[in-house]
Amino acid sequence: MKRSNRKIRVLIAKCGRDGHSRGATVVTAALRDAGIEVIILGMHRTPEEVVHASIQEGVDIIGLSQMDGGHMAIFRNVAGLLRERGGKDILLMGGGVIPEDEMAELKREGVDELFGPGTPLKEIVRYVKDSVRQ
Amino acid sequence: MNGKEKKVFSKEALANITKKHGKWVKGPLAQWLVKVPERKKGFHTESGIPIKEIFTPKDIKEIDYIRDIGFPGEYPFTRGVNPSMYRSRPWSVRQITGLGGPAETNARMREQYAQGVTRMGGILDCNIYAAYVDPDDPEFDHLYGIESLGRTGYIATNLRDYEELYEGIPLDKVSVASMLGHFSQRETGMIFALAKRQGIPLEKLNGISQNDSMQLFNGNYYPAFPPEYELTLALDLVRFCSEHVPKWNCLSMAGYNRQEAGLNAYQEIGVTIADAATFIQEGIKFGIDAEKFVPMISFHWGFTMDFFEQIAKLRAARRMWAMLTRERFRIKNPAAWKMRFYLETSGSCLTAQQPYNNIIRVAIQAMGGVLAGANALHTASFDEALCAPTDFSAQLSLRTQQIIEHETGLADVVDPLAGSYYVEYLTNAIEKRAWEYVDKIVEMGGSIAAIRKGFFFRETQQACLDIQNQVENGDKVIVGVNRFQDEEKIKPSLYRGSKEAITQALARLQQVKKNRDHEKVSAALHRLQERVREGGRGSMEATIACCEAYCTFAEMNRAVKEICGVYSLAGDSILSR
Repeated sequence: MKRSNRKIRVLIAKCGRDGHSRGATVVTAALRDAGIEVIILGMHRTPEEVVHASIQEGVDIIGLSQMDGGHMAIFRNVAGLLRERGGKDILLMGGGVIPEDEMAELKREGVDELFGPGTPLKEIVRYVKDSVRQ
Repeated sequence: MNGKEKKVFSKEALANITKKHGKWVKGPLAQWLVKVPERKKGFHTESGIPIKEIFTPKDIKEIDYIRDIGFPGEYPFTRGVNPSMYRSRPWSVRQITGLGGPAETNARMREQYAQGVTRMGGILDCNIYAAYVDPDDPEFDHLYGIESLGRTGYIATNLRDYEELYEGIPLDKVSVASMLGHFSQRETGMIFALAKRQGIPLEKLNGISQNDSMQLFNGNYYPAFPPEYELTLALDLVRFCSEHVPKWNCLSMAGYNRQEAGLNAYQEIGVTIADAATFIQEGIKFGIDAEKFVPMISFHWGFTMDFFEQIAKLRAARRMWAMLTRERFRIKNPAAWKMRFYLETSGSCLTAQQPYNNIIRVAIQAMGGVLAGANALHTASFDEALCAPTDFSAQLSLRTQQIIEHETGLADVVDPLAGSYYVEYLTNAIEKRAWEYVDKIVEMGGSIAAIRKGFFFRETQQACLDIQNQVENGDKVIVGVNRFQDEEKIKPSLYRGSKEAITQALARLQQVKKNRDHEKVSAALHRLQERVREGGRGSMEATIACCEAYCTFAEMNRAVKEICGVYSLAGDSILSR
């Protein structure tokens, strides 16, 4: 099926061990309200689990919420595994408490988009819709 | 005496107020609104309770002063748990600290201690307390990122680290807190083991273990041990304290966490009190004496920006707890009826944009907490939406409390908002809605049944989306986020963690693992597994023994997990497809 004919599919997860889920919860709800299919992989996931589930479920975008300071390693590992395991068409976005300079560094390394605290939900919805339709 | 005569306002007075109010609405108010319409269509609190333009005695006419409000230190404790509140003893300043290596956190705690702070809270790094691999395991870096260490809390994996963490802090003179819900048993075990090592009798210890494992399942997909196991592990910590550590607040019901996950004011107190009821009920079944352990339960509430609603929430919560313990559970010990609580200003209200604005938000929230009679207070630091607090921001948040205490006069009178038509109306409105929540959960068969039905998660998701939508459509203004945005001109310096602390922690961990008695380690872990398998009783003693044998958190977590597995509402079915 061609992309334009089916619902956009996003996988939302948290890696690492932190318990701050509100961001992921709200983004999940907003994407669903916008007619996007969201697969919730939950919290405390490993990079392998995220990549495995994303490829298996044929998602368009992965959204990771990181609040534990481990964002550099987590995003790099997920991006690396995506390349390794044939998921390079899957976009990688994320959010959380990530200092600006580190956000810039991750984006240079190939993370597609990062949203800081206070980002309007519609901005995230727009990003998901625009980047998948392209 | 009949009920009517006890009411605050006489029948005649009320009739007169009704008449005059009607005239005012149709006359001056209506005429004014034609010229100056209201800013928006309908006003509501954050949780959706309607707010009229004014409140009058009519709105609280059902109140029986003695029954519903009473006097501080007396049932139903609406006005506070002590007769003179802050006039005798100001609230306890309890600032939560946790960053870098144990030495860095220790330095900050010592500085606080030198300044007279005797209540402290430690935040342990989440990638340590909730992990199944130790930081010296190569897998750790891949799973969590080694550089995450020390960014969300202090790096302490075993008793050796705790020795350094509390160096120079006399455990029998300060009250320390372990702010973990799930995993509380393990960190409390470290603190008790440390006290034993220092020769301090456990009965002298005074502190808090959050230990409210139910909160994990309330708001999110936190993969903890199955709720039944989480409950018995928590209860065995309660049992242990009721026998050996009587001054320890061994169960601190964390409404704060539930609110931060998304619940609104009445949901926060309704769900938390329902969960506390589950702990009481199951604690009795577990064989602990309710008269003894219920007084050891305390509460941890949040305070968001909706000033009056939050104050009303806290007053309502005190009244509900008194009713629940005395009327529903028939507990005779008056100490059990008092809801003592620790208030934390809301982290989720802090903005990354224009971060210095948070100083003002925290001050307002802290003022509200004091007006509501908080027994202990933590004021957040302004940079917390960006990183763990720096020394500068942590100091400022402490000063905030000191200014409120010494300069404002807020501490000179008890429950000054009592009798406000609006505040009493809101207190009643929130209480009514919160009881409906408690009853709903009881009807579902209690907290565990409600968890397994996914009730809490659905409620949390909807509530936090409702609040977020108010922000998105501009109904709820957040200065600097959806209004009054500007180019960021001032950037605070951020805490980035410490590479040196990580290196030191790893070296120390490897040394501890080399030098400890390996047979003792495996025997202690084995004993813990046995206790968990056999219903949880004695698991606290077994945990302390593990800590004394220098087991790490990850080792203890793995041991428990091998027995009971992990429960998660989300994701597993996808991965097993």
